[in-house]
Parts: sequence; structure tokens; C-alpha cells
Amino acid sequence: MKKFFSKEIKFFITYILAATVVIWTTLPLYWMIVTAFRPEKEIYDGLIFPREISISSFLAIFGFGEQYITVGTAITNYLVNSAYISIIVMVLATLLGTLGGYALARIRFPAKDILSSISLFSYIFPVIVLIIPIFFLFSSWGLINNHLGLILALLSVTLPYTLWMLRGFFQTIPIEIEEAAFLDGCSRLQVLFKIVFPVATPGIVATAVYAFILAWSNVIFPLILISRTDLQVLPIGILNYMKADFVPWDRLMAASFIASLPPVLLFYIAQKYIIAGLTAGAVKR
Amino acid sequence: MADKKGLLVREVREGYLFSLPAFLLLFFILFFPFFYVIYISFFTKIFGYEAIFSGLNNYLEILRDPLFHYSFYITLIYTISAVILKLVIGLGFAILLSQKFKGHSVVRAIAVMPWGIPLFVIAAIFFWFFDYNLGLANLLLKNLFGVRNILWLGPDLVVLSIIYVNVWKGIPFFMVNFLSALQTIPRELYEAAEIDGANSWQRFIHITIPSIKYVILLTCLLSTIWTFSEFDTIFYLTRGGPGYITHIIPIYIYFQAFSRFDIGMAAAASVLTVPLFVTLIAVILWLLRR
Repeated sequence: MKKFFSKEIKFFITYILAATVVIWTTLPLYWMIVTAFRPEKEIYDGLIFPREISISSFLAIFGFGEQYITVGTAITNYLVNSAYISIIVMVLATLLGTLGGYALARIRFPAKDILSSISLFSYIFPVIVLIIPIFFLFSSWGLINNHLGLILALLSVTLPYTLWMLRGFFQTIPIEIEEAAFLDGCSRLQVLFKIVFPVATPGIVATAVYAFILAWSNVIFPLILISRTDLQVLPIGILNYMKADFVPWDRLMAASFIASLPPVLLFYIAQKYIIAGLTAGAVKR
Repeated sequence: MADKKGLLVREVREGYLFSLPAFLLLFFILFFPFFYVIYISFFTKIFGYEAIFSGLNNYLEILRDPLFHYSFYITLIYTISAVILKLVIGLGFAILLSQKFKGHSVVRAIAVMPWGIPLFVIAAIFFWFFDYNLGLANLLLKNLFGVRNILWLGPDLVVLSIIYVNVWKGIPFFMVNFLSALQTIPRELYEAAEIDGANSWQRFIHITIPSIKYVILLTCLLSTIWTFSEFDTIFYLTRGGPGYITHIIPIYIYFQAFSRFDIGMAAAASVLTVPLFVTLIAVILWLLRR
């Protein structure tokens, strides 16, 4: 029987479909980028392709050359808060997750299986169920309008993730190297620092990167825990732009562009390991 | 063998020592809040007033609340349609990208991009993309097909629009999981089927789908949980509106607590979603153990 499609037609269809995938994905992103890099007056002309390129909206959100401030304060404050809070959350989640994940992967102790299940369970379990008690308990612990409170709340999203992922990464390291080191008389800490961590570094870095992305992207905790503008983070800054009666589209897109740069760049750097970790730890048996 | 026993005791101690910091912290920020939300759901608690024990009153009131019924209904519609679309399109993308055509790695790199972009940014982008007067969706339709402006976030289309946003963001997760699963299928299976005269549809149904069915099931279950509980995009795009059209369960919980200040009702609504999530997670754990 002759084949229904010739090789050329198959080749052609493949490229049509590939182009569809690219357009489907990039269309909204194209719209963000052209709007962010457009002079403000051009926004209201209803043009699909830009006539001029300008960085005036970026200057505006950072407070340069503004005679009057129309919506909210400059973005710098939000950006700094987001950056340093996400970094602290990343460091803490990775540190605790590395210790715990190693124990869950390697050390034989009675609670190992139940704690492993608990960490997977809390990673998948949606945090929306916990916003009421976290808000309520944090109010009574004096953690409202407080960066420590926000950091602790963000750890409830990131720590289960790092625990589960790092457990998976440590399990992929051959145990024989460690056993040999133990036979040579190394202590647990020596084995950890001299053998396990160097081998696991790519996995640890990738997990840390994704923990940063999770903290950076979180909306619900700053929304319920922080009401003071000077303590607020980027997602709520963007929300304030969107809530304005007269939305400053060019600035909203410039701020969105800036807010997406760190997570997107980090995601590409660590992508291979994030995805390998997900498939090894969660999806592939 | 006293020495060996000593080693084992030391290992157990190390196990607890290493995992204690993480789980102690999780106790305060996760496990304790989890039990506290169940506890507070048995109290009538309005923000700023004393909590009064009221038994199952909050639950009875919620189960009688027409808005909760509607919220549950619209959350189900939204979740099921979004997961099915993500499954179909994600599988399509994965199969396309598993062909080794020239430039496939560039297309793959572009297609995974939405995964890295935060939801709040995606919401802002689509808020502008769907704008009635100046959004790209309407500009394109007007310039290409002469279609009159469409109210994407208006009452008629808003549910479709939020499903579209969720699908756009969620496809990479499906695609990547399927792509790595597809790579584990041995080439010989396809070659043998081709020799036996199976066409590409038959190969897809009898080889591809059975080989990756566990990955499909796990991905769909995870996505169901995360779509059902997703708050960010809908809160940013519609705040549950217009009216109550997109008042999904997470929005219901949020507004009960932070707009009506009825903590007890919000807690009870949260607790009512737990059996669903626990069941789905139990299935996932069971699948992973198989």
C-alpha cells in the first residue's frame, strides 16, 4: 500500500505545526514586549506593530523624569523587597531541604518513609486551604506587616518542594561511593561535604533556582500578610497598576517585563535539572 | 555485634537530627495551621469579634449557600475543561516536538517559556491582551477578519477566556512530562508495528498511549489539584466577576475571609475542599508506589 502522505508533505505539515506552536506561545509575550518598549502616546493608536521604540515607560516606573506620579509609587521599592525576600526564602528552603532531603534519601531511620510521604503530600497540597489559619495564627504571633512573617509563609510553599526534589536528586547518586568513604572511616559530615554535595551541586542549584521562582511568583501571601506599601512586593505592585481607574498599559507591561526576567532567565539556566527532577521525583516511576 | 548496633543507633540519631529543622518549621507553618483551620471551622468567628463555638453551623450554612453551590459548579467546569485541553494540546505539542525536525530544540525552548513566567505576570499580560479597545486579541481579529470588538472578559466569554489563560500557562508542564515519557518508548515497537502494516493512528492508539498512560494519569491528577486551587490569574483578571461568574472556590474562600470578614465560614469552605485534594493525592501516592 502506498503511503498517504509523501515525505515532502509530511515535512511541510511539521513546519506549519511548529510555526503554530511558536505563534501560540509568543503572541501574548510579543504584546507585552512591544507595549513595554513603545512611547506612551503610541499605545492608543491601536497598532499591532510598533512605529517607534522607546524606554520611557521603564524610566517612568523607576521614577526617572516623572513630573507627577499617576499610579502607585515607583517600582524600585517593590523590586528590592521581592528580590531580597525571595533570596532569603531560597537560601533557607535549600539549606533545610538539603539536610532533610539527604536524610530522607539516604539515612535509615524509622520515620523516613512517613516523612517522605508527608513532604510529597505537602508539596502537592494546595496552599489556598491554609491561607485562613496562616493569616489568623500569624496575626496572633505579630507576623502581619512583617517580612519575617512573609518569609515564613513562603517557606510553607518552597520547603516541601525542596525536600521532595532534593530527596529525589540524592537518590540518583550511586550509594557505593558513600559506602566506600564510610569504610575508609569518614564521618557522616565528611561524606556529605566531600562526596555528596559536590556531586549533587547541579541538582541543589536547580532546586534553589526553582524555590526562588516559587517565592518570587507567590501572590496570596503578600496579599493577605502585607498591607503597608513600603513593605510590599512586586506582584502586589503589579496588581495596584491593574486596579487603577485608568490603567497605565505601557508601565504595566514594562513592570511585567521586569518581573518576568529573573524567573524566566533562571528557569532556562536550570531547566534541564528542574525537569529531570520533576520527572524523576514526581512523574516517572 | 555491639559495634554494628552502635552504628545503627547513630544512624537513626543522624536521621532525626538532619530532618528535624525542616519538619519542625513545617510543623508551625503547615501542619499546625492545617489542624487549626479544622478547629476554627467549628466556631462562629467574625474578624474583630470573639470566637463562639457553634458546632457544624458554618458547614450547614455553606451547604445552604447558593453562591457556594455555584462556586463549586464553576470550579469543576473550569478545572475539567482546562485539564482536558491541556492534555490534548500538551500531547500534541509533545508528539510534534518528539520528531527530530531541524530547529526542534528552538521550538521546544519557546514552547516551555510560559512555565517560567509567574502567574501574576501572565495575568497582567492577558489583562492587556484581552482589552476591549486596544488589546491584541481584538486588534488582530479586526485587522485580519474585520470582526467587531469582543468583550473577552465580559459575562458571555469570561469563563472561556480564563480557561484559555490557564491552558496557555499549563501546557509546558504537560508537554515536558509527555516528551520525556515518549523518549522512553523503544523505537523497535514502532518499527515492528510498521512492518505489520499499522498506520500512524493505530500506532498512536496501540503503542504511544499505552506506553505513557501512567505519566498521562499522574500529570492530569497533579494538574487537576493545582487548577482547582489556583487563585492568582482569576483574582487579577476578574476578581471573581463580572458579577459572580468566575467566583471559583479559592476566590470564595478569600472573599469570605477578607471581604466579608467571616473567618469561620471561610475556614469551613477550606475544610470542605480537603477530602477532594486528599483523595487525589492518595491516588498519586499510590500510582508512584506501584
